[in-house]
Amino acid sequence: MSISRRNLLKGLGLVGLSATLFPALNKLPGLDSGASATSEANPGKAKFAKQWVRVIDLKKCDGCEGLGMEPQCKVADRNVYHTREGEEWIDVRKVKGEGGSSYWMPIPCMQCENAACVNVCPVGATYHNESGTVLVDNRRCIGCRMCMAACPYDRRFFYWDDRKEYPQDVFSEYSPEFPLPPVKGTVNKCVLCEVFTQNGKLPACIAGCPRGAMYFGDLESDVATNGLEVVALKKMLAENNAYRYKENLGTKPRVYYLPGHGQDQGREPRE
Amino acid sequence: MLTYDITKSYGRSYLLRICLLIFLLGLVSLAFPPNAAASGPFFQQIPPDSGLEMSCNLCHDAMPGLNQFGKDFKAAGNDFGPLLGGKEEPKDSEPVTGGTGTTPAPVEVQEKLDAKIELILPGGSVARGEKIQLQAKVTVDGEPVRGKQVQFFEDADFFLKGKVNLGEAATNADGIAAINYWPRATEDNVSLSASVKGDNQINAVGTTAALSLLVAGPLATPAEGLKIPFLGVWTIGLIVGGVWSAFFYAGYRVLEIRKFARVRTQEAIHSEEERKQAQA
Amino acid sequence: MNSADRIAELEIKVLKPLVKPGFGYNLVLVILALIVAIGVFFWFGQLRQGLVVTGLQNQVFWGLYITTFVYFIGISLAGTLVSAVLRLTGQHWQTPITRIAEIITGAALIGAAMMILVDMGRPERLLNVFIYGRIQSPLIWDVIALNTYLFGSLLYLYIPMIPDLAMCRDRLGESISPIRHKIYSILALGWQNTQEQKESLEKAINVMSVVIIPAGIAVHSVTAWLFGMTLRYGWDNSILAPYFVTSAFFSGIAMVIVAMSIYRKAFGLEKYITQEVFVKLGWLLLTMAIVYSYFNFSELLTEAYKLKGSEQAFLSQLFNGKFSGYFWLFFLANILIPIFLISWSKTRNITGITIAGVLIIVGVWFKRYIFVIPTLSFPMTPTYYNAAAYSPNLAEWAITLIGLAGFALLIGLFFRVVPAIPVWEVVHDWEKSTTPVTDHSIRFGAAKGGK
Repeated sequence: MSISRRNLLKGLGLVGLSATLFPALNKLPGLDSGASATSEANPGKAKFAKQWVRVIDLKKCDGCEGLGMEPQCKVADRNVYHTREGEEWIDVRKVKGEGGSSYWMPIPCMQCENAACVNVCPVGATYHNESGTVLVDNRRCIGCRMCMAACPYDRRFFYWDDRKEYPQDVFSEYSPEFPLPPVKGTVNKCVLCEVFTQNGKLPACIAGCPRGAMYFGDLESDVATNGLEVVALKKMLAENNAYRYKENLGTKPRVYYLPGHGQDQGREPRE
Repeated sequence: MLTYDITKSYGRSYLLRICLLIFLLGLVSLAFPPNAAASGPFFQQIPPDSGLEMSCNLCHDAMPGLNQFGKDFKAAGNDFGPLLGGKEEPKDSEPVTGGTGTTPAPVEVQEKLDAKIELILPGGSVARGEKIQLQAKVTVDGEPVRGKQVQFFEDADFFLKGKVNLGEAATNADGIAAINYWPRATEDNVSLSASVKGDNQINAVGTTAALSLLVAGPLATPAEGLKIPFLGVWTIGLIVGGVWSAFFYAGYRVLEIRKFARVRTQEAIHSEEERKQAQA
Repeated sequence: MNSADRIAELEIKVLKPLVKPGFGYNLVLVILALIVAIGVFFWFGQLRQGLVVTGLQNQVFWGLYITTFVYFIGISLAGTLVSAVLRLTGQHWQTPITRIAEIITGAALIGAAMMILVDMGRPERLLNVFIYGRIQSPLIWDVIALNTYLFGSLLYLYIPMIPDLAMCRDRLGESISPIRHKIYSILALGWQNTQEQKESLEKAINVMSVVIIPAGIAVHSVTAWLFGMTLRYGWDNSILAPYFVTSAFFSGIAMVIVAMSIYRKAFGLEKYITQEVFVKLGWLLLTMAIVYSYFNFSELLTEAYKLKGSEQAFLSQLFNGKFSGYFWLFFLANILIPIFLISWSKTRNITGITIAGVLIIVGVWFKRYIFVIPTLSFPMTPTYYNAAAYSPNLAEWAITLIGLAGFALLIGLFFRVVPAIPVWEVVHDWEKSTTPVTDHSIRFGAAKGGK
């Protein structure tokens, strides 16, 4: 059969056009949070994705007061991710409990299962990865800061300007798991050191805690470690009356606190 | 007549009297309550030939308060053994050989015995997350020993290699210490170990074993959201679509105005031409 | 005077500003344009350096821009109420002011969109909202509702304007440039006032006036839900959507009143925008003020009674603390004084009601400020206990003024090219009301005592 040149060109054009559409079809928004970046799956070993959880032993944390230093977890965070002072992704504060008690409380991102930030993002720039970590893709974020309004723990931060303090950042290749170089006009938060944990190293703040007050655990295999010992996770939580911060808000946070001294008359620090 | 109807012969009043009698008997029986046959939670642990009665009054005076026996029981870790004054101590001391006659001061030369411990695991594969009993039997010279602390561990490699403490238990009369365990390792088998604490009678000793796991699916799945029947994206689509359709309808009507104008001008032009033609 | 003279007088009055608006009017437009230009200059600075040029920080990350955004969304309900609801309920006194109300809606929505654009950290990624939009996000609901309402409002503004554009086309022949005349002709769609065209127009207006109401209410509800879907004190309550809708009606009516006063004086339209219109809108304003106070009171009472969580500290800063000055001033100036001005017959005239309107349109902006800023200033965890207070700086004000001055500029420019009074609809109303009633009697049967 003979095809006219015109029809042939038309046909080829249509085929070419439809080929360009297919990748776009892939990205049609579905009803999930539309993760735009795929985090590197743990090569080889694990059958199931780990479900990370953090446990903070308030009996052991003293804000590094006893060492005469500022909290070392904050220092670690600044060193790795070049966050500014006052904007570290983990904060450690002395809080007053009920009945006049006071204790030091590290407050990291809670990596909530029912994360308010993930629910409200208009473009799906913030999402859960397979381990339950909440990440932000700064290639998609439009900077509306709706997630910052939604977070009840004040744990999201905004790059208000171009960060020039670390010129070497420009050589990093951006990924949501390691968000350097910082992207002006987007939101950032604790990434639970995904790049470290995927390669068998503990998150910077947990490894950097001189008191071993923070544990990093896996809900799937029910173990946790603070770098010095490995413990059975659920057993430790049950035996130590573990609680979660602002649990009544329904965010289902993945950070457990083991109450320390002076919290006998109430578990919640002053909110 | 051999058969007769009671009510017919003696009337209704007879029936009434029988009922009253039964009722009174019932009342009388209340005065003699049988022993509370309610099962106590620890009745099964009472050794059979101990002579202890299975009744609430064994441990309680005024419920739920404990009497002295009950307090002792609780302090012994809910074990009747020590309370029976049983002399089931293991042979743990060499007979002191000394001179006759005089009773020398007891020489506490007790060489610690070597105990043996073996892990008793459920046979076959265990499903991940299912509750099982981890048991360890401690024996000395083949005889089970009681009251020894056994620790159970799981080998884990989680950012660092280590032994995870699963719990502790004391051996019972059969020399078996047991804890509950929910295996969660994501591998096909998990390496477990048990060790008995050394005390002044025995040496510490440990053992390991592997438990094979049936790994099915993930156990820690993140929470799901609220399910509302009939609600979905289609509700928004319907409403928004409805409003936009109304907009397009209005727009259509508006464009109609233009159409009418054109029609009118055409008609006007036609009638002009006809008028001109009529004139001509 | 007979109807033909009446119509002629109306047309002259209404068409004159399109050609000779007067020096004062032009001057005001130039000043507004200057303010907008300064704002745009600062905005370019913000685009280059990022949002650091504002006074925003990690604790109070929404400031003047979002305040003004919510304010504009609130004002935008004016059109729905005055043009649509009152029209459907047969309140024909509103006919002369429908166009003012509708352009306020349109300009306010454009202002709101502008405020969102300047608030975004990465405005060049605006299309991400449409490509990757998640329907679960309240922001997307706002985008959908705002676009729907904007499109509908502009349509609802345009449709009744067609006969007036035809009037401009026909009457303004020599007074305006040929290009302008051509534009009028195109937009008038060949309107000849024929019967079929009138029917089509009526059908279109009727449909739009019904469907614009849910669109308008939806817009303000979803804006409320932007805040209501968070877990913060002051925002986390369920009354927010009806509360915002009421306050939107409230501020929208006030804005219409103020615009009416301005155009009445600027264009000499005293005969058509009469005291009756002001008084009736005043009563509506009073009703809305009472309903608004009721919702406000219900929300605060429920929160203050229970004192859940840290509500006590939060409400203290509102009633006695940092923001109490604004709060009580708002209550006085926005609620009490306008209610008083409208209720007392001595002040229930054009002047009094206009003063109430001015107080309200300024006060409602401050109410939005009190709504957004104190909640964000209140830390949710101990982390921000010693964070600096928020204070907007010059750049932020200048950029916000792009929206506020731009809003006024849009309305001013609009009424330079289109009649401020919907002539066709007003004349339509006159004709309907002067149609003689037929005077035959109706028999219901034999009269008593008669044959």
